Amino acid sequence: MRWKFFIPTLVVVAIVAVFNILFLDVMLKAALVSTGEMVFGAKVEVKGFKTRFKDMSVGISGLQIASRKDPFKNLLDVDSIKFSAEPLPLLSKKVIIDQMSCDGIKWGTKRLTSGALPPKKEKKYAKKAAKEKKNGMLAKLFSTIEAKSMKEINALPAMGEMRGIREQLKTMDLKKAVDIADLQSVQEIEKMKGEYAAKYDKYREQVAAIDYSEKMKLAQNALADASNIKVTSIQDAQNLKGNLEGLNKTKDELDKSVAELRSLQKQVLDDYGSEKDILNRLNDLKDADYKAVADKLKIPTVSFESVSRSLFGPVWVGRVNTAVHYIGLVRKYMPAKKNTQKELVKQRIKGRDVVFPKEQNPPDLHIKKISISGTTGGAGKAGTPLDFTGTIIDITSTPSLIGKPTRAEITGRQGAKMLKIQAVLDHTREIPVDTFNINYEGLSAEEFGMPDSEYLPSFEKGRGSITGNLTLMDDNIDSILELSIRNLSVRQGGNGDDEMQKIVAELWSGIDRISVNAKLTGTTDDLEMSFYSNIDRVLSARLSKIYGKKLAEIQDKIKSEINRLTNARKNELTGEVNAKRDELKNQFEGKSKELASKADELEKMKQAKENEGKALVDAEKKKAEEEARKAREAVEAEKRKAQEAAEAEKRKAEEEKRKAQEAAEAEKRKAQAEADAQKKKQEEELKNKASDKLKGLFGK
Amino acid sequence: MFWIKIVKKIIMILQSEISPSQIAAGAAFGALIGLAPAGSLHSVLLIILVFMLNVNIASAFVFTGIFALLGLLTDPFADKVGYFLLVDIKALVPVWANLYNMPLVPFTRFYNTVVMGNLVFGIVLFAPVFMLVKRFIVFYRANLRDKVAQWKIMKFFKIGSAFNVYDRMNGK
Repeated sequence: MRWKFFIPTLVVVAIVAVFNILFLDVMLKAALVSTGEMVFGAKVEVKGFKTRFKDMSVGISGLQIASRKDPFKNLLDVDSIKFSAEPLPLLSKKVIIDQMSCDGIKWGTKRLTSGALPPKKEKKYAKKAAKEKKNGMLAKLFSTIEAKSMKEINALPAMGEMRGIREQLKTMDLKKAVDIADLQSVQEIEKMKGEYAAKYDKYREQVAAIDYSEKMKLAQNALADASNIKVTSIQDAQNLKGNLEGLNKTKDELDKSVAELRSLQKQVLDDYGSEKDILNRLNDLKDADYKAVADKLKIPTVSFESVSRSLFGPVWVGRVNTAVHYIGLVRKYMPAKKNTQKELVKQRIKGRDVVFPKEQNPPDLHIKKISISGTTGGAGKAGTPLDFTGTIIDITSTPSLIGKPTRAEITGRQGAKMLKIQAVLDHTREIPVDTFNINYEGLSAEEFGMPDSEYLPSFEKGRGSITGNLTLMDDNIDSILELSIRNLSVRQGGNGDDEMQKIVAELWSGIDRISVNAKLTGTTDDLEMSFYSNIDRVLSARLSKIYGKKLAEIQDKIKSEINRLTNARKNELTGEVNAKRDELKNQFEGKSKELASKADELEKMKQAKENEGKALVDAEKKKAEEEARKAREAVEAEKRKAQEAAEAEKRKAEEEKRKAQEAAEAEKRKAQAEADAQKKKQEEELKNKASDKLKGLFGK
Repeated sequence: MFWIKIVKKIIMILQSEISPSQIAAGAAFGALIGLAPAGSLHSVLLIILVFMLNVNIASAFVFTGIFALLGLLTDPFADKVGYFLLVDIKALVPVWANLYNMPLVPFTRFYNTVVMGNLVFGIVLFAPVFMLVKRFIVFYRANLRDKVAQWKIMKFFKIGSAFNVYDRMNGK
């Protein structure tokens, strides 16, 4: 054992320990600030950061996250955060926190310095965020909500502009304002007249090129020639095809001309269009003229039908989008369960990593419980603050491993004021479901955070409540907001423009209650927005009374002046166009009908002559076939006769052959009998000779 | 030049009076460390062990370098051996699974086929490397040391302070 090694080792350990004591907190604080700034896109400040190895605890104090939208406000301001991590899981890179406490939570508090990031950092983080945003499902929903609100929420015209119009209308000379030389509709009518005249001439020329009378004459001649053709012999029938060639050619030419005329007729109808089309086009131009004149006179085109939507819509959409943005962040860091089979062997640059089953696989981060406390007040916030407490349970980097959703509940009650926020972030399954419910009652008018609009007065008194809920299932949003303010009273006087104050006071007089009900539902592809408020009808009527009537009057005047200048020209144009279109149409139709009828006659003549030839050919064919049949029968009779004679000869020959065979067999039998008799005789003689010899030898 | 430094170090160790067993043990540990991929937990533990045990540190580092280079050649075989041990031998899977679930142990990256293969090569080579190096040093000192000491270059090495440092570190 090399004992002297221990001294340098101890020195190294001591250096590491000192470094940790002196710099670990600084490094962790820097990491927290940098990560926070990247996530929130605004300055993150931490007053104190203290780690203790003894109990593995971390204490953070004075955490301020600035708002990206309003750099002089804090998005979140937390006085102190304390937690301890379980030591054993840290050795496996797992941070498990049993209990965390966050005290002194505030939001929307005033900042003394700007919370905007330096341009270089902002650019860097924005680039990164844009990259992530591009494909994010919630980023698409965010953009859709923004686009939808831009389309459906119309801003009210500036009051100063409206007042200017009232002054302008008093001295305005409409005849000077609406100059015929500037009217697009008049210019277009003149242009259209020229165009239609040119088209008329073009079609006339095209019709002349068809040479209708020449074609009719040719057809007549062809018919006369065809009627003189006689079909009396086979030779005539054979020559018929050649004789009808002229008739065919003429008929083809007529068909071609008919097609041309019909095509021209269609072109005329397409080119000239219907009267309705012309009127629509002219009406569009008149609308454009009206807009041009209105722009020139700076007359706004406003609708006072949904004032509440214009007043409260942008704030509400902004809040919904902020919620969607932060849900997107939560989903990024607490992803939903993925339905993918885990690879058992992963390819690496060097070797392969084998993945073994984990018995108890805790997530990389699990905060089991956070106790929170805070206030709705804080620096720069109006009204009486309300203190609240609450808990958040099961914040984790891998919700599917925990199998429980993250739940948050915050409550606070102080006199008439009551706050209740509930949130459930269920990312344990493949489709994440995030639900938020908020109920805030007993708010004073100044705490309400009224939108910044010159149409809204400064409210002195009033009590209200906000009830909202937002459910986001995948990219399906269902959001409802109900806002109610009662016992409203408007603050009198002020430093602003007297007339504008007068208008606003007139607008809001007698209104002591505002209730707004806003809904946003659907998906990225199909988003629906609805807005209802009790003030819509009253304010619409009053705004229309203040501005609308006068506006409507001047709008009507401009429109009638434009109509006066254009109507006569318009009627002249439509009359001319209709007449020329009908004339050309009738001409084409009549000529094409006549030519078509001549072509039919030629076809009929051709058919008749062809039938005549065919009948002659059929008769000749029948005759030839009869003759051929008779000749065939005679040949067959001759053939039969010859066959019979041949068969008789054959039979005779066979008879003779049979007789010859019988004679030969009789001869053969006779010869055989003779041979047998001869043989018998010889055997008899031999026997006798043998008997004689035996007798001679042995005696009798 | 790296190679000249390596040769210089080897010659200095061979020429020194350090016990052959210490040099051979250093070499055997060097083989184990060299074959393990840099940064893994067990290579750090082995380095600490080299410092703690009475083995020659210089030879350990020289052999670490040599075997790190050799490791580039053995990696494909180590991958196969590691895969065989980690995946193919089913009886060992529960052992690996247990180790996989223990704290700290996964930092050794034992579950990587190349790491496992090279660790096995290192363990298998430990004793042969020790024996061979020890025998070679004994042989060298008996037969070659005096001849090598006569080389002109040795005068240059001896002048260098590093040589003396090696001796001092090893109590000579």
